[in-house]
Amino acid sequence: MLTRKARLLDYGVMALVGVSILLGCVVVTTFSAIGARQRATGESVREDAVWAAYQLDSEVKKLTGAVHDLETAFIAPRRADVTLRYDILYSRASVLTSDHYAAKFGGETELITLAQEARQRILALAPLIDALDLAGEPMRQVSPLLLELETMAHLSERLLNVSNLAHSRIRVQDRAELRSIYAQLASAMTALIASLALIVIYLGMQLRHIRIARRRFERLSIDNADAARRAEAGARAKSIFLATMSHEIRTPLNGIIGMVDIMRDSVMSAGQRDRLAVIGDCSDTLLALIDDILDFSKLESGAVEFELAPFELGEICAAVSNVMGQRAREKGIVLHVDNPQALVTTDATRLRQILFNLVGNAVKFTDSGWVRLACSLDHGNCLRVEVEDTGIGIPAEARDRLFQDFSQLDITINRRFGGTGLGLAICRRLIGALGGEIGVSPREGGGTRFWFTLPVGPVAASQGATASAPAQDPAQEPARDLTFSGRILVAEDNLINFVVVSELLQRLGLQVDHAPNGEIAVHLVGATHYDLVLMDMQMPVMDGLEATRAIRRLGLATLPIIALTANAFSSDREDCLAAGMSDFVAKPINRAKMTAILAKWLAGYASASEPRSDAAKAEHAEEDSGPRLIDHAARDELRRELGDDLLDELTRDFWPDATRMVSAAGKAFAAGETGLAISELHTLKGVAGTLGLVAVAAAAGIAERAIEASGAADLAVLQATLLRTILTIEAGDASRDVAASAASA
Amino acid sequence: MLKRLAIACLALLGAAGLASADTIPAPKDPVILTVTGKVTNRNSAEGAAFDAAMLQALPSRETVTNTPWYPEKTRFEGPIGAAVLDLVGASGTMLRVTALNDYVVEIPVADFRKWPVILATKIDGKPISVREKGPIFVIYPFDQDPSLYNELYFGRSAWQLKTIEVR
Repeated sequence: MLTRKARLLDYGVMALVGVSILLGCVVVTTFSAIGARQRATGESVREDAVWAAYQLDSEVKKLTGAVHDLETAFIAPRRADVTLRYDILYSRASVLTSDHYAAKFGGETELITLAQEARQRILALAPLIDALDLAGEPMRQVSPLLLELETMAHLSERLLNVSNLAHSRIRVQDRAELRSIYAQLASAMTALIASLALIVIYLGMQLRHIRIARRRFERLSIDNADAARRAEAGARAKSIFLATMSHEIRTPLNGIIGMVDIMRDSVMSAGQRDRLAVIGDCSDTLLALIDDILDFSKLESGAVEFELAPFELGEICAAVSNVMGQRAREKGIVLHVDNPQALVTTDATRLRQILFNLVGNAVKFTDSGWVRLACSLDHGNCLRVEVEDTGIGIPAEARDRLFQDFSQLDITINRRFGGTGLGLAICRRLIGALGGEIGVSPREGGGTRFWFTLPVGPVAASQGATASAPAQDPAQEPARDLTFSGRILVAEDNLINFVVVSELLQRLGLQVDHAPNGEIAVHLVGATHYDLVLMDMQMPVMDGLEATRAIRRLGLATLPIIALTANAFSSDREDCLAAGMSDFVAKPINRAKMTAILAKWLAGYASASEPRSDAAKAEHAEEDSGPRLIDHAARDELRRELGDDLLDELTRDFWPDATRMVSAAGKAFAAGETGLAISELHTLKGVAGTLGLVAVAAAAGIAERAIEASGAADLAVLQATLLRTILTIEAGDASRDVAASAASA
Repeated sequence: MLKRLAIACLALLGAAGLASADTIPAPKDPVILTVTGKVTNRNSAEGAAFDAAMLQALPSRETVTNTPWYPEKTRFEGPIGAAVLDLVGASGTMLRVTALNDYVVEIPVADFRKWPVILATKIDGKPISVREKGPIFVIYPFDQDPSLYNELYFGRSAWQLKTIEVR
């Protein structure tokens, strides 16, 4: 509507401008016509015709007077005067018949005739004048002259009258003509002014329309901005809700995971163990999903802070290699990790998360072949990472929506592999937030190549030792039989969490007291000696931060206070440290994490077999241990005899066998078939011994003897030893590979 | 003796101070122009009288121009008005010009100073007879300055010029 009106206005203005230009032309033409006319008038009026006629008349009279004078006294001066007067009259005669004169009175035939006649007569006087002879008879000479002059006087008078009349007529005519031209000009000017006025009005209307339209647009944009703000606020509220909910879900889930962890150690039938394993797997998966959602919603709501600090790129890659290598091996594929040794600067936790995600995906979607993680430093401070696999690949048309939120390529994949579909979206957001780019390209011969770049400056040379040894993710560290002594206070309002933590601590040989809130914790700390405090952050009455500050105020400056936090974000950590806490441990708490944190802060109380907490421990673990896990000498001998591949294959095959045997023994024992149980354990002991896995062999022997002697069986120790051995062997393999490559170089 | 010396001195003074008082000789032929009024150099009772030869001796100019009085371009020739004024020692601001037919018109002296107005005595190299609007025709340089080509200057262009009175 508005635009149509505006368009009409446009056309109107254009038409008016056209009209105005036309009118302007008319005005200019009229003006030039007036100008031309004036010039013509100027030319024609040069010698006023009436004036000429008058002068002629006057000269005729003067000549007549002179002739009369001559008549009275026929003398030479008078004759000279007559001659002069005639000459003057003669000079006038030419004017009457000049072109200008004719042009001026072109239409007046009578006038022209009279003028010509007057001229003829003036010229005709010449012989009479010239013939004047002072010696002759005066009267005879003067009389015809006077007669002629009389006629001449009549003629000149008539000429004067006629020319005067003609002049008046022409003047009237001129005036009328001029008036009509002026009228023309006036009407053209009026039309022009009217048209200009219309243009002004039209433009004014247009301006008004534009203003109205602009106001409308402004209002619309304000409305839109409001709507956008509302929508954004809604989205943020949803994200916060999602984050809160995820967090709330995590708490009970942590309880489940912790309990499963603890229950693994207890005696149960193989069926129970399988079911427990399913519960454990499900809980882990659920936790991973919730972590994804939490991460995503935090990224979405802008609550994520990044912590840029220098770290060894090699450590992160080694962690990926350890964890994902295990998973790859389970699927029968190979994981190659290729990275430069360098100290890079970015958010290590996030980089780890991205790598775990991409490599995890690659392993997940690859059934045979290999997965390759390749890191390189471009232009000095840009990290370029490629994750290639020989897996199922991604159809070209799906690549665009690959990084979109909540997208999985298709439902069947979703069913087959599970997952939230948020992994890549999270990666994209993390990489984007860290200033990098992510993309995907197909590999020839199937499979996929994901790549991403991150600015990681400043880059420094690797500091050596740490990088050459494969680092282990603390979260993935194997649970080991470390035991501690001492008294621990757990300030935790959630009973499930407390029970989990308490169980873990007791199993590690520690005495545990419980404070359901911060205030009680402060009282207890004041009254009793504790070696370490585990402090939940959110508690009723007094929260963890407040309680910590209160404890520090009591003068207990060196008491280790460890925060139990569900959030691993740097802001939380900073709050903890600012409040005086010594360290923090992220939920969910499992044995590995607990062991690591205790090893760090209760070092003096550890009565354990292995010192931990540094990255190089894997190499030295066995050497320092009391009862050794692995007999390296025996394994090296076997390696020489059988070769690396065969030994590794045998060892790999041993794990499922051993697990099956332990579980079979457990089942048999539960079923009362102690003989079968003993036989299984015995076999296990033998195979483990052969492979140089002395700790497993010893544990199997102890279990065997226990059943024989007392009819009681605690297979938990055996299971734990088996797990530790597995992890140690895997870690050992990795470190040996590095050492071998270093030696060959 | 003393009296003769005084006369000689006066003559000298006159020669030096009054721009050649004796340079205008008496006309030998019939007088065609008389300059009267505020003039210092005279050769008659009325003022400075000129015959044709005297005018011809003055600095002159040729003006070839269209005029309303002749159908085509005409070549006018005659002494420059300013030269005549200088010669007679004119000191006024206005010239009252009278023609043979007693036509009178006033011309500002400034016109003569500003433009090379001539007192034409010849047309196409021939003297102008009274019958041809002679003997003297005031001609402005219409060819040189188009702004002169109008009734005002046509009116000042007196023909059959007889007398110039300097006022």
